[in-house]
Amino acid sequence: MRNFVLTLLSLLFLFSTPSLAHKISAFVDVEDGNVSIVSYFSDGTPAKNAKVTVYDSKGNVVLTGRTNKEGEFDFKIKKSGKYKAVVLAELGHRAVVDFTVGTPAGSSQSGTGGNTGTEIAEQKQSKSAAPPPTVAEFRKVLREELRPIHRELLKIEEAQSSISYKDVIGGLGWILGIFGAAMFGYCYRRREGGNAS
Amino acid sequence: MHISEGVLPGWCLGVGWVLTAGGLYLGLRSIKGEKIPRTALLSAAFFIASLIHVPIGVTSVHLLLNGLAGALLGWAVFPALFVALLFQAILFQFGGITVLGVNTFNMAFPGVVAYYAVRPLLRRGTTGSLIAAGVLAALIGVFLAATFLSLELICIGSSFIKTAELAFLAHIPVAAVEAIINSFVFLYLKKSGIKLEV
Repeated sequence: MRNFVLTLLSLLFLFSTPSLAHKISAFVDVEDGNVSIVSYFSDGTPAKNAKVTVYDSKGNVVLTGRTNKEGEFDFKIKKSGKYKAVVLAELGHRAVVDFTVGTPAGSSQSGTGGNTGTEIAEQKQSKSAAPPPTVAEFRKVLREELRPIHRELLKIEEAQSSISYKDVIGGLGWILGIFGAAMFGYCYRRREGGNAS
Repeated sequence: MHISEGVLPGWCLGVGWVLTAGGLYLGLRSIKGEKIPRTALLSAAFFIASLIHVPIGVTSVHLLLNGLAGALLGWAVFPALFVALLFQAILFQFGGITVLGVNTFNMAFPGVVAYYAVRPLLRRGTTGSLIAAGVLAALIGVFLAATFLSLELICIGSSFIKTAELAFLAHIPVAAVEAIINSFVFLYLKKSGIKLEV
């Protein structure tokens, strides 16, 4: 029976994925005041219907909304400046992401993305000979193109924050140490008491 | 089932800390002699259990083992889980330091309830009653913790029914796996002649 329990436990370890379900991550794209937030659980599934609250640099609530089925939430901000978005998913999961509207960094980011978008759009055009794509279509293509990059970023972030066995062993050491000290104190006090009486 | 840092309002965190402090007081008073290594062992088991993940639909859940720890420790489950959750928060950023009070109460109090519920079954000590105790401890531990979580998330405007539904559905497999683990642990301890009730 003891072997059975051990096998059961080892099977559990095998099938388990070392992901952090306790975390959600959020990514932001900014382009001319159009902001798009994408939020994922750490295993890559989108955080659906999560509440998004956007704060300005003074901490005032600018707007609130909810993510769609793909974990996305799009909105417009006209005033340039620094903003903070808080994504709140089910069961108490929370992610915070900072972004700026109307800075050189944001425009260059969208610039590089735009190039790939044009290529894709050109390919499409040559195939179907459709009229030139609109800005909205560009954005859609762009977002599709950026999705693998988001996934990649997520993987890197996850790899960085993943649990290391060093930490696990260290934590166990701490727990045993604390209770060991308690045991020592208890035995010491009892011995003292025994001598006194 | 760890609530993240910064989700709950201050008063909610405060209430959590007060309740946990009460539990810690009762727990520390009850730890004597050979119960110290037992508490350490179950604290370590709880610490490790959170790393075993079961992927379920939109979210993924992990073993809790709070029912098992509660049944074997009584009120001492509070210090055991407090220490484990503290190191989970420090080392893995599960939960956080300010929500430690709330998270400890969420996990430990169902353990205490499980302790009082399964004590008569453990005393009887037949194979059937030990298995029943294992199942009961798992159900109380997991689902009461899910209920507390849902109650607390009302604070931030979540609907109780919706959160509870999600939490309950997600934790059915966890409860099933824990029921098996608990039953085997109880049977093994009984067979080895280790005292079950404390």
